Amino acid sequence: MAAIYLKELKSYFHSMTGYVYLAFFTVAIAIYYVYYCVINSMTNFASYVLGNVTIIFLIAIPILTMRLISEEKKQRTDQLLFTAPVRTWEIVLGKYLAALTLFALSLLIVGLFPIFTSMFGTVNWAMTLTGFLGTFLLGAGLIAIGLLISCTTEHQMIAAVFSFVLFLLMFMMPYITDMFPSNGIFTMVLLLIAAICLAWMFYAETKDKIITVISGIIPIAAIIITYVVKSELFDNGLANIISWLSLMDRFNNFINGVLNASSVVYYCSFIVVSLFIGTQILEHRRWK
Amino acid sequence: MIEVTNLVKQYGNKTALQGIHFTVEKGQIMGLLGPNGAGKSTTMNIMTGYLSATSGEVKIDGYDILTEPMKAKKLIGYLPEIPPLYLDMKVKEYLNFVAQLKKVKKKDRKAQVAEVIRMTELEEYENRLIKFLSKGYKQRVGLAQALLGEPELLILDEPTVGLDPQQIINMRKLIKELAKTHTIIISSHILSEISAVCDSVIIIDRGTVIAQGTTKELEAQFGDKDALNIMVKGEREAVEAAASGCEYLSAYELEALDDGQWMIKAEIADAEEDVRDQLFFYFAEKKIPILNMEHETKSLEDVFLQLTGKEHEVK
Repeated sequence: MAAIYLKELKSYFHSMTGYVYLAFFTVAIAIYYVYYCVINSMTNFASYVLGNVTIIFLIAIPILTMRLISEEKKQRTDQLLFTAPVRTWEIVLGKYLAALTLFALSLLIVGLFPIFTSMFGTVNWAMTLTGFLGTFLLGAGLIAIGLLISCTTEHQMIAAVFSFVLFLLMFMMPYITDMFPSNGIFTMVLLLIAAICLAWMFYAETKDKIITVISGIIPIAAIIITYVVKSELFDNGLANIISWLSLMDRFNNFINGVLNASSVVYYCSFIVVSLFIGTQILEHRRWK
Repeated sequence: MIEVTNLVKQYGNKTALQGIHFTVEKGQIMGLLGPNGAGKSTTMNIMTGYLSATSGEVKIDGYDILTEPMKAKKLIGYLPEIPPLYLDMKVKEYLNFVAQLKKVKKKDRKAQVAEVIRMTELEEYENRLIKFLSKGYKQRVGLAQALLGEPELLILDEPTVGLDPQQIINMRKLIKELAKTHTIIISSHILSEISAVCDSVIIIDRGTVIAQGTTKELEAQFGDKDALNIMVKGEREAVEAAASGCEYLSAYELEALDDGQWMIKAEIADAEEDVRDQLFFYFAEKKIPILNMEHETKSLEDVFLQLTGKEHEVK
């Protein structure tokens, strides 16, 4: 794993990617910093500057993650990695940590900004640091998703665009959900559709009719029974599901200075699950 | 060393391998031969654990590649068809990375990298970026990579493809050198390649093994030992009379060459006996000089064409 981590970190700087990312991220943050903290003399770095980091992430994170796995597939170097005595999760984790390291480095650079501010005014350090922790966790979560997407394609541009669109959707989700009806029937139908899609995916993978029927009928029955017995559970269900899945809600707490242990756990589990799925996708590819 | 049992690989509805079966003993050089698309690379990719077979199993020194991949992979050095190189790395840097990836101990790493660089004669190029190397040198870096980690088994997928004649000779020399200490499997669609270096050959076509044995066995099995090509000079009538009157030949065909020369493609009456000296005196007596005389032994090339060709006709 160490070998892959070091190689990946080096390759960020062999190619332009590392520099492009660092330049883009720091310049983008600097623009917000100059506008809010220098021109308008705000000392609240976390809510004003880091609060806008999501827009920057839309572009910055795909730069970081797009080539991680896709490029290996394209150059056929995955043949080296997958035939070496290394486990697939080590490959995924090594690459993830390399991207995370570069990301952490960029946060360290950005960390200089509030230090500048503190020379001219009072900075609320507890709040600023909480904001940074939130930014780190959000970024770490998005990198995990970006890496997962990179596992699915051998074209880095497709990986980049797909990550960008997905991130954009995630950020706009709360506004999109407002447009849909919030009653229970709608949520139930949506869940049923999801269950059927899942069952179909099982069928496409295994071609096993019994498993498909079981994996389809059990969740569908569960959804219908729950709806009949306790329909109020489904009220406003879509918004609840989305906000539960949303990395954004919790991030907003952080930048407003709310440090919540459950959010930290949430982000960490989110990362673990994403990396696990990425590993499974790569393992699965061998059986195709 | 290697046991491959009933490998089947299906890509969707397409069957790439339909029951490949062979074993390779320690220290052998085995050639995997077949036309393009026969399933050579797929077989190798499964043996090295890059792909998984739909059914069947691969055991390397008793370790199953699927259930004990760590132990099995440690024994294998693999050079895929396209060498897996990071183009923006320098040669030495790349080899260091691979050594680390293959879990070569830190204290041995430097020595081992230096050793494979020496073996593949890359000393002059060790600080060049891989993307600036020629095809032949890239192939060497690929081979150097496979040698790291001191694997007992080398799996080389078309190691000489795209090299110039000099490089091919050097590569063959290197493979023969390596064969002293390694078990080697080479794939190729070119026969001379395989017969130049291999002890035994497996011919596969469309996912099945169609012939298997040592090069000699295959030649013996498919060759006609009792055929003799005799090149002579003389008038047509005289040559015909001599050939048909000859007691050593049971049948013949005459083929006209330039300058009044003839090729007699003859079958020898008694295949057990070497009749070339008798023939020499016989034709000398008839005043027909023999310019050349050779046994027509089927080369591996013919065996290959015969086997794969037949298959295609059946279709």
